[in-house]
Parts: sequence; structure tokens; C-alpha cells
Amino acid sequence: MSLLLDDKLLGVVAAGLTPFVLPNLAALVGVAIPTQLAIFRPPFLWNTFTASIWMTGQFLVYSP
Amino acid sequence: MIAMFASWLQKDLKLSPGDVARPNILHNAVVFFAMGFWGFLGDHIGRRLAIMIPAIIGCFIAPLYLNTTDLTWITIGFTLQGAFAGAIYGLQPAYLTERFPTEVRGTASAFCYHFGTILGGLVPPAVTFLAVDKGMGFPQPMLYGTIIGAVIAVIALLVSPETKGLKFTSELQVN
Repeated sequence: MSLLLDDKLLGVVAAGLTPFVLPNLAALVGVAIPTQLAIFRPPFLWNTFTASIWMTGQFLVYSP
Repeated sequence: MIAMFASWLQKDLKLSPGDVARPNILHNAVVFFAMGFWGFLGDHIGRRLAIMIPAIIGCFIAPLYLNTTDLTWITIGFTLQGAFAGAIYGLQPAYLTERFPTEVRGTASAFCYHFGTILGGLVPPAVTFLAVDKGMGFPQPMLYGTIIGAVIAVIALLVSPETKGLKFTSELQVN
């Protein structure tokens, strides 16, 4: 458990989640979103998220 | 599964370089052909199934070579694993590419791929920490990592879109 609560690991997780959140928050307040950031907004958001988790699983299999 | 395997054979089992190389060479030889096979199957039964099936089978093969210190079983098990968990990467380029439209394909596939490598890259230090600092040895953390990774991949694929037979489009559709 202490390994999962390691500050550096939490930092990496936070850095990974930020791209999923910021473009949507920016869009909520009316900021124009570059085309490339559309992958973090509906309808691509779920696709991007599941693809990222899939890649994580694959690399978890590879790494150990 | 791959990255820490040689460390385990060298550090824990004190095997010679030749004995460490043999299962790795055989594993990679099998991977080479198995990736083509699963890719061929992916064109017929779908991308997701062709990744999920070897991932699930790989969970049952991993204990064969990680719960023993017999080099024969290690070699047989790890070579066999090359046809399953070792070959789940074969459809990665095709499936990752097909999931997104042309305008964001490079951005999306690069982001998702490296999201996985960053989190996956944390595993070797974590396995080494559990193996050395916690005294668990390499096999158990490697086994947990392999099975947990395969289960995560299967769950993610279950809720992912199937892209077999998809026609590529450059039209970006954002609500």
C-alpha cells in the first residue's frame, strides 16, 4: 500500500489524468480547443481513455 | 514478463549467460511467428478478441515458468508464453491506428501509447523494490504484474470499440 501512495507515483498518475480534465474544463468556460485536444473531449474521450488503459495493461504485461 | 525475466534468471537462479539466453531466444522466435498468426486471426475474428484470447491464456501459462526453479520448465513455459502474452503486441499498431480519425490519429495514438509506457515503465522499479527490498524474490511480483496487466488490458478491450473492417475517414466529428 505504501508503494501505491508514493509521492512520485501519485505525481505520475496526476500528470496522466490532467490532459483528460483540463481541455474539458477549458471548454466549459468557452475557451477554443485545438483540434488535437479533441481526443480528450466527447465523443473521443472514452476511446482515448480506454486505449490508454489498454496500452497500460499491455506494458504492464511486458515490463515485469 | 520480458524486462525482468533475465534479471531473475541471473540474480536469483545464478544461471550462466547461455542458460539465460536460451529461453529468451526461443521466446522471441515464437513471438515473431505468433504475432503474425494473431494478426491474421484479428482480420477474421476482430481486433479485440485476437488480443484478449492470448492475454487470458497467458495468465494461465505464467505460473508454469514463474513458480518453478527447474530450467527445463522455465524454458518450456517462457517459450510457450511467446505464443500468447508475448504476442499481444502484434495488433497494437493496427488497432491503435484504426481507433481514431485521420486528423487526430497521430496525436491520439502517440498519447495513448506513451501513457501506457509511462505507467508500464514504473513496473520494473516496483518489481525490483518488492523483490529485493521486501525480500519477495522476482517470480511473485512478475507473476502479479503479468496477470494484473493482462486483466487490465482485457477489461479495457471489453469496453473498447471493434474496428475490424473499418473504413478510414478524415472527417473529425466533435459535438
